[in-house]
Amino acid sequence: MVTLKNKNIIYKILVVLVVIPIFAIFIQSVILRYDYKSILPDVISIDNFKKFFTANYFKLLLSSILISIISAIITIIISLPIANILPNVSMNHRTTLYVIFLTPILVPQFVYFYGIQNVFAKTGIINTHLGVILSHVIVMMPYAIINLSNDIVLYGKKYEEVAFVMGVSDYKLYKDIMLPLIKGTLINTLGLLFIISFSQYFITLMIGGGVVKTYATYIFPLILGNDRNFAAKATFIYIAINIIIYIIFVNSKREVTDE
Amino acid sequence: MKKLLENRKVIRVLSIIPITILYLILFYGIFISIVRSFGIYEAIGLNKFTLKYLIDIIMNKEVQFAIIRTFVVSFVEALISVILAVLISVYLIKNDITNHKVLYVPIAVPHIVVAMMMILLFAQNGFISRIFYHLGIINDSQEFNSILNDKYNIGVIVAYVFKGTAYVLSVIYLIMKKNDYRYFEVAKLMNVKYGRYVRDILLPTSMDSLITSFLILFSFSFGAYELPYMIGNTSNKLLPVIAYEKHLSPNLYDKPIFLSINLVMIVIGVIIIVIYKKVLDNGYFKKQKHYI
Repeated sequence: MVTLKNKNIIYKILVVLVVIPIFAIFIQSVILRYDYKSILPDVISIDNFKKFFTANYFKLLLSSILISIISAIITIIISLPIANILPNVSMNHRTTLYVIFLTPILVPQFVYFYGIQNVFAKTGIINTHLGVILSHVIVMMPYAIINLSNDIVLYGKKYEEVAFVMGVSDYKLYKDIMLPLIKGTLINTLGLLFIISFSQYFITLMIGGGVVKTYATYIFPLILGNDRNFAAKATFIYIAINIIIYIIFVNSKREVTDE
Repeated sequence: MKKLLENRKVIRVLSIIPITILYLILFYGIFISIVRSFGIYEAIGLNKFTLKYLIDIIMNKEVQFAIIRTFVVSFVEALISVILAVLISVYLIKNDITNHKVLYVPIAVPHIVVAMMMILLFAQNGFISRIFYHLGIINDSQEFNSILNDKYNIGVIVAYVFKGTAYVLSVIYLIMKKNDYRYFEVAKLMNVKYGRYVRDILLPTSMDSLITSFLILFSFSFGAYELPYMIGNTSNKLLPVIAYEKHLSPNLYDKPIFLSINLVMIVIGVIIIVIYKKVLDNGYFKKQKHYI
């Protein structure tokens, strides 16, 4: 009699459900011709990926990655001071502050995209790289503030008090005590912010106005177009970058402590 | 001057200036769009406070239906995501599967890529349709009822659930696991059944995070443009798509429609913020050291 090994079968199904769509993109990217009535693809080829190693394409990818890296770093730098102050605020004010900081997540994004577009149009930084980077920073601020301040509450505060009593300056406090303690979260958050910025399409379209091109605005029309093979190739590279960053940075440390 | 810079408070105030400016830009932007939706729009020569446009739009049948449609899609999507995440989380804890990082991968998948996945899998000549054909369930690609661009926007809901479940799971799992550490032994000692344990201990202790993640998902899908545009229905459009089309339109009559839709979204946003604040103030969060 055959006994089916069905331990954790639901978990395996879930993994398959997550992996299949990503796998589908990869499959489509190597299929050149696939008749509906045939079981297997008619023409399979991987040498079409060569198209993606041209100078123009590379420039686009690089500038897009650069925009994401710059906006992630700016977000971290400007969020760190406020994340550090937040745990000192009394509880009642703190919830109010949290809600204010979370506004970009809580309000439907269309509302504040339009608002930012108006303000940027008045100041004249619309359709520029600076505008796009600043708008990405505005989108990402809440994530950075929450992630960092949670960690500072958990690890940093007790040491800060000791340092304060001993008369350590703010600069030294940051450099020698805070940063080493929250280094893990800092790297996690940086990866997460990169992914968020790299995934933004709509805000880039509204602020960049088609002048500033990122990888997302490049593949958007491809996906809606007819050449599914080409679109799948471009998408595959896009998602590969995201998932690699995610595995290296974000998902590296996840532990449960009874704190 | 040097002494001033050594002062702790001065440095702290100086260091939060950049982020304050960005938040001011954000709120000023939202403020401008509120003012404009009440009929004060100097660029096109309107400077009188009026509710006329707003009432006109709210009475418009098409916009009414769009609001209801968007509300239902967002609500259903957020609810399914939260319920699925709770079920998966309880399952993972019960079977003690700690290494399940793969399940968080959808968080890293951008929305436009999710749309691509949906198109590849569910289009009329997509992979699932082909499998159905070869299994003999359908005789032709035309017979395959695609959930893309369908009347009830089911494709949009499925796509949001794919991403939303992973997000809620990443929030809920850590909290549930922590509470499981604390209470499981006690519950076992008292001979509590597992279903009761989940219902009376795991769920109530993570209820606040469930509500807040529901709100975040709801708000996101209420205002996001990509997925509804790419795989949503082309005649029964969702609110963000209508809003963006009216925003781009050169026709001046479309401006009030756009601004009123914007105001509807602001009202939804304010309601969400109020509920969120209530949850933070009264809930289990208050006893915790950190949020989310």
